[in-house]
Formats: sequence, structure tokens, C-alpha cells
Amino acid sequence: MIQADTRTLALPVDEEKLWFEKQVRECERNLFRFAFHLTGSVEKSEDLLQETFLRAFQYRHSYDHTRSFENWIYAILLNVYRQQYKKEKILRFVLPWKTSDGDEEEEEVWDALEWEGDGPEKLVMKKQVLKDLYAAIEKLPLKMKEVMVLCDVMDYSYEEASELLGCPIGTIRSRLHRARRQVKGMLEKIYGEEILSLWG
Amino acid sequence: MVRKSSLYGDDGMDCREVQEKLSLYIDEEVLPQEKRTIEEHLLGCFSCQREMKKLLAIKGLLRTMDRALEKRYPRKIAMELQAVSKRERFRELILVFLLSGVTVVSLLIVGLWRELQEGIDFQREIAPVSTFAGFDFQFEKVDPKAGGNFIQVVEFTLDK
Repeated sequence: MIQADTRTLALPVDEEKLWFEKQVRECERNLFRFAFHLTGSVEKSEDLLQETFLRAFQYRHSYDHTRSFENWIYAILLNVYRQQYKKEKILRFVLPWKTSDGDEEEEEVWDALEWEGDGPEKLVMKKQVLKDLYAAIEKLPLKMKEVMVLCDVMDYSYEEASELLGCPIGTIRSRLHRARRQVKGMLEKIYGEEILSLWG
Repeated sequence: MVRKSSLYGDDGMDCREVQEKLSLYIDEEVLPQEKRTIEEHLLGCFSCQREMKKLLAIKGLLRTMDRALEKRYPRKIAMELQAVSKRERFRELILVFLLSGVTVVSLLIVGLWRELQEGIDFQREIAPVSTFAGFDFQFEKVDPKAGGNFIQVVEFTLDK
């Protein structure tokens, strides 16, 4: 994942666009996963990605071509997300009745679970568990949420997460530990000791 | 419940210490010595075993979220980069507009200033008051650096 692209960016705009698109296509799947798990909605994640691509292209000349393109664009995505998160937080404070809607899209995502061959009851239960899990992650402080999404949801190593988030591995460890404890606490409140058999 | 494992001497950890390390343990991020100590503790501690199973269950659930997403959404994201060039062009336009505005305003100020100066000069050149009034002033120029006005009346005489 972390490989430097040695191509320079001193090209005509059209060629730059082609080059940029090629780079983005190589990592868009991971970017989409990351965006979805951060925002919890398909629509929001697509908006987030669109804004990320625009901003990345706008500031393409600041990209250091000796370093990984994916890490660079991840950093942009995180910055865009943090800004949006702050705006939403303020908006929620000012307009508390304005709630986010994205349930239908989430349902669509969780429909993929049918492929695992579960019965309808089990499926409904699993969807509910995943929704509760998302709600728990959503309540985490932003920094913990970022680490949890990278390490636990997307299975990145501590080193990779540390490089992407630009913080020491020790910080990643402690944030992840605290995030897990908090999520566990929240799920325990809902499911109690059943937490052990939620998926089995 | 806090249990100190007495079986393992000074290296033994209590439940709180083990539970602090469990998160790292399930990620295999502990040192070999610590790993051994934790495993020895877990063998005899039901509470910590349960705690570890819960953490593993949550980790498994979190990974499932990603797998469900991967199955459903390998789709291509639309990339509308032309919006950037539009935005950049719009910014350029704003910049040009602002610069023109500043230039026009500066020219206006300079023009007005010159107009005002000319008006003042013209007023200075007009005939003395005494030619159309029945009195006369004697003026004396005063140096402004000295703190006075530009002109000062030194003598005032009424005409016959």
C-alpha cells in the first residue's frame, strides 16, 4: 500500500488529469471504505470523496512525488472529513432537530450479509447489531474513531495507521485501546453478556 | 474483581494490568515475556478470559462491517475534476475583478485629489476681496511649521 510514485507533476493540465485519475482509481476502493466507515452513509461518503478528489486535484502541485500518493490523499480526506465533522457538530448544536438520514443506504449495504446464507431472523438481528455498532463508533471522539476505523474495521497495521494519521504508534495503541473499551461498554449496555454470541 | 496471580511470582499481573494489555495482546503487539505472563494469567482467570472474548467478538464484528461493504460496493466513484478548473477560473475572475476595482478606486481618488488641488489653486488666484467688497485685508503668509494658519490678517481697513 505504501509505495512512492516517482512520476513528476510538471505536465499539461489534461495529462495531469489523466495521471491524477489513474492514481485515484488505484486507491479509490480503500478510500471509499474509509469514507463510508467514517461517515456511516453511502451518500455522505461519496460527497466526502468528491470533495477530497476536488481538493486533491486543486492542490496537486503540493504532492511530494517521492512519497506515497495514497497516504497523501488519505491525509486530504481526513482533513476534509474533520472540517465537515466540525461543521456538522456546530449544526447539530444550533439545529438539534435536524437529524441525519441515511438509513435506507445503510440497509442496502447490510443486504450484502444475505450472501452469508443466514435465515431472515438472524439477518435482522445482525443488521441491528451492525447499526448499534455504528452508533457506538459514531459516539467516539473523532481521534479514537479514526484509529478504530483504520485498525479494527479496515485491518490496517499500527504502523500503517500511524503513518496515515501522522502520530506515533504509542498514541495509536492507546487510542485504539480506549476506543475498544468504550465501544465494548456501549454494546454491553445494550446486549449485556450476549455480546459474546452476537455473531455466532 | 482484581486477582493477583501468586503462582507466577513478581512477574505476575493482576486483572487490571492484564485487561490494560488485552487490547495489545489480541493484536499480538505485546512483548514475548508479557505475552507469556498474560497467557498464564488467562489460564487461571475466568473474568479476564471473558473480557478477552468480548474484545475479540467486537473486533470480529468490526471486520464484518467492512466485509459487508466490500461485497456490496466495489463501484466507481464519479470524479468531476472539471469543477476544479471552473473553481480556479472563478477565483481568477474574482481576483481580476478585485484588482480592477482597486485600480479604479485608486484612480478616482487620485483624480479627485487633483481636482480639489486645482480648485484650491483657482481660489487662490481669484481677485482680492477688496475689489468687490467695501473693505480691505492685509494678509501675511505664515509658515505652517510655526504652528499658525496659512494666512493671517494683519490689517483690516474699511474703504471710503
